Amino acid sequence: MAIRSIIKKISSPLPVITVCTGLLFALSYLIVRSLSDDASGELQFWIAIIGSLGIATLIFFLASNGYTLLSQYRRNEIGSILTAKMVVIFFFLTMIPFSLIYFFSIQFLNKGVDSWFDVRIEQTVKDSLLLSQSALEGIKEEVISDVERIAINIRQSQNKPANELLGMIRELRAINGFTELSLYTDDGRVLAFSSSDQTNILPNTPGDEVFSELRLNQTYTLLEPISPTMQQFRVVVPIAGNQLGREFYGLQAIKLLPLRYATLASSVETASNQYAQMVFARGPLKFSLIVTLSLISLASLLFSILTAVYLSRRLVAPISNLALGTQKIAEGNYGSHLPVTSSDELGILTKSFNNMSSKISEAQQIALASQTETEQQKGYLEAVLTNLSSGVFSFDGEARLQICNSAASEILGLEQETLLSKTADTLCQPDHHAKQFFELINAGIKSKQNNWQDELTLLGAHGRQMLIVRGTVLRLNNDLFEANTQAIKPIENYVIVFDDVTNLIQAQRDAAWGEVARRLAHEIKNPLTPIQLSAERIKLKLYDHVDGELQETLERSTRTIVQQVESMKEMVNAFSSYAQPVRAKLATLDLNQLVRDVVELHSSHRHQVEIKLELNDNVPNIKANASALRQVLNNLVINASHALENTEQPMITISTQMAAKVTGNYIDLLVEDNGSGIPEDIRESLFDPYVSSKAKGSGLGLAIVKRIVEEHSGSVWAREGSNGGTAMHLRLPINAMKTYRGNRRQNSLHSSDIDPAQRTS
Amino acid sequence: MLTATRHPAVIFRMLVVLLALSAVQIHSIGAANAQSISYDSRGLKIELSDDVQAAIDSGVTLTFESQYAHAKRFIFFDWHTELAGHEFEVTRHTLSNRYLVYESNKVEPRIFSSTRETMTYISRASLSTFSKYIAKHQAQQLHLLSEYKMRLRLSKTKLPGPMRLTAFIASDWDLDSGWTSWQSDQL
Repeated sequence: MAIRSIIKKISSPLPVITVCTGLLFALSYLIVRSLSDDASGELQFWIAIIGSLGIATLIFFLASNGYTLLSQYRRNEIGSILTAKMVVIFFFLTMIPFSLIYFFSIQFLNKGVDSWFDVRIEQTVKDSLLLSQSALEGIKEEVISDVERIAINIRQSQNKPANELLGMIRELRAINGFTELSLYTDDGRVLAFSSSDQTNILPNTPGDEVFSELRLNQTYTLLEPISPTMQQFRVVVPIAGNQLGREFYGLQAIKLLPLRYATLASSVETASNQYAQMVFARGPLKFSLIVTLSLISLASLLFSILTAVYLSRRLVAPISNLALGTQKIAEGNYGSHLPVTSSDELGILTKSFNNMSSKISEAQQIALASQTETEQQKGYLEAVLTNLSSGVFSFDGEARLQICNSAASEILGLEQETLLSKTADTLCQPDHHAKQFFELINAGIKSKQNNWQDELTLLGAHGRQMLIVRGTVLRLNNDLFEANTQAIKPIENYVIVFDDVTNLIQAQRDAAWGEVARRLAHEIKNPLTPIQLSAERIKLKLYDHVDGELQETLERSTRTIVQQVESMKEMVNAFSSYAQPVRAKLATLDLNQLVRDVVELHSSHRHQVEIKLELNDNVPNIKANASALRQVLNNLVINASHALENTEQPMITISTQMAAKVTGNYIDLLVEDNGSGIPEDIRESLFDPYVSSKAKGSGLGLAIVKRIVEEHSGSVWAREGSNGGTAMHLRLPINAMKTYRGNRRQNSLHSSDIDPAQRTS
Repeated sequence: MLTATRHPAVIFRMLVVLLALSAVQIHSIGAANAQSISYDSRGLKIELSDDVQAAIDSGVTLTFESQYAHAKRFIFFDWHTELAGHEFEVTRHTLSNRYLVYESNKVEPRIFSSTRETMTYISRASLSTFSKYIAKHQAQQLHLLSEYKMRLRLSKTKLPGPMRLTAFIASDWDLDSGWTSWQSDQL
């Protein structure tokens, strides 16, 4: 982390700019100092080193930035492509003028340095040098001539005493203006010495190479610089030896060059040296300048590229932020705010983006709140619909079922999943017990009536059901559609509400008949006993007081009254029995066995009627009240027997079988006779109370049958028998509920199983 | 937002390589070609390259530096103390076609007719000064039987400005004996 932090810090623009600025200053100083000699070479060396390190650092910065940019480009990071493009553009914008300037700078530098060295100047310097040398040569010749003349004099006076010789040397030195005049032996010993400087006690002895030349009898001459502005001639002339055995003597004369000549010669020497030095340094100078210029150019180029990178990043950063922000919004992350780093157009754009993001976020919050509210309302509606006892369907504009509450599923005995998302037409197609129901709904939807209502009787999963169906059209304005097309097209939804009123109707019927029975018991049955008692009292009181025909009449009338009262009591009891609802417990019952028991009972006293049994042994046990069904069978057998009174070969056929199209759920019980059939005038109201074709019939038998069957969630209807008589058709559910209505999901019954033509109720 | 660096390890390695290369370059600049000035049984032998000879013939003043020190080894490094030095400025007098040697402790120059004689004088003088240096320190009983070192080299930093960069780069200008050990009883 420390390394990451350090590299991040040193790669930031400020250190780079600092390095570049220092580097450019250092290189500029270097190129200026390259032209002069008075600069410190050590400083120049270290400046060159620092410059190289600075360039290496810039290369490092550039490489690190380039590597980072390349990595970001490969990762397709937002902004990297645009940054790379801008860097490339900046690079070419920099490179083209830079290359031109660099090329022409090199050319100018070469030409400029070469122009310093003019041929005429060079020739002039050479001529000056030659002139100086010629002048000095002339002076040297004069000095040599003087020294050789003195040497001749000394050779002629070599036999003189030493003090005279010394005096002569002093005199000759003074006369000829020598700085020093000295006489040496061939082995370098000083014989005589005279100097213009009185403090100089020792002669300026020549070197061994001088005596080597003297041995060759050659004159030694040398122009010696003794200071930057002073020069002297050293001339040593050999003098032939004498009798003392010496081969030669050396006479050395040192003469200062006259000041004027010395100054001029020194000036020419200096100028000549400087020019020669310049000529020699021309190549290195060019090299130095070109290298320094190249370093400065390279530093400038690197600095420009780095600046391009930083500028590109700085320019692209707001755009990258905008792209990231847009991407976040596209991903659903609303409300993100971007930093506003400038007040230019990009800053305005960023501010606008932030405003847009805020508004989208607010709109999203509102939408979320609305959605939450809608979901709450939907949940509330679902709760309401779930707890409704009424079945509710909702169809959309395409008559596709969208809502089906649990009550609807329960009433119809169909799973919600099998109904939802299906159109009304599709729901009519399956051959199930609710087909008639859906056909009714489909017709109601297609009728386009705002409100409609209908009643329907189904043989549902648990028996006969009476349904009241109400339909309503909901018209909703589609605002979005209105906004787009400037036309209002309402969306039509359909709400279907249906109720299973079987219980209600039965309850109402029970209540009505209960009230009738109560009134009959109160209004009719109560007076019967006093009537009967009164009739018997009359008979008791009067019977002994009358005789004969009157007594017989009394006896008959009293008997008639008592019989009719008993008959009325039976009628009232029977009616009470009909009106009183069955509340007996349901238990498992073998229907075939029950039929056999009832038939056996009737066979004992109805010998004239043949009772034929066609019982299916595969019929399962059902849940039923045995005594109630026994009464049903008794009533049906009695009715059939009565219908066969005038029939020549009376026969009753009782059969049981599984319901043909509803295998396993219903059992059909058929009681058929070959009698005269049902009169036409009572066929429609055959199962209503007090409807009978018999003179003595109470008209409650079939009503009680129907009521008991319905109490078992079954159905009963009459049709014409196969032998021309009457066939009473009972359809009983196998799993009738313990109470009158229970879980309807256990079984289903197709209403289409029943031939409408065969139904009479 | 684009960040400056996301790959510190790679960049750090690049930085290390660059610094290493820079250090090598600096070392190569500072190092001398020890073959141009060598020691033999007769003393120092200075061989001028063609470029250096041309430069002195063109009037360029060359400065030879002789440096003396007492060497101490500290771990793996030689630590030079008691540093002393002597300079020889060699220039050519065009009018007399002689080579002049100005020494740091003398006013008048030494005059030689050839560069060979000049270099011979410089080698002798530097060795002589080294002997004096050793004698002085031994006389002071500072470092008896110690190791002394000297080196003789052409100073590039005292060349004329335009020539310095070339001299730093070109090996022809590397005239340096390097630090050489001499026992005190060798001289």
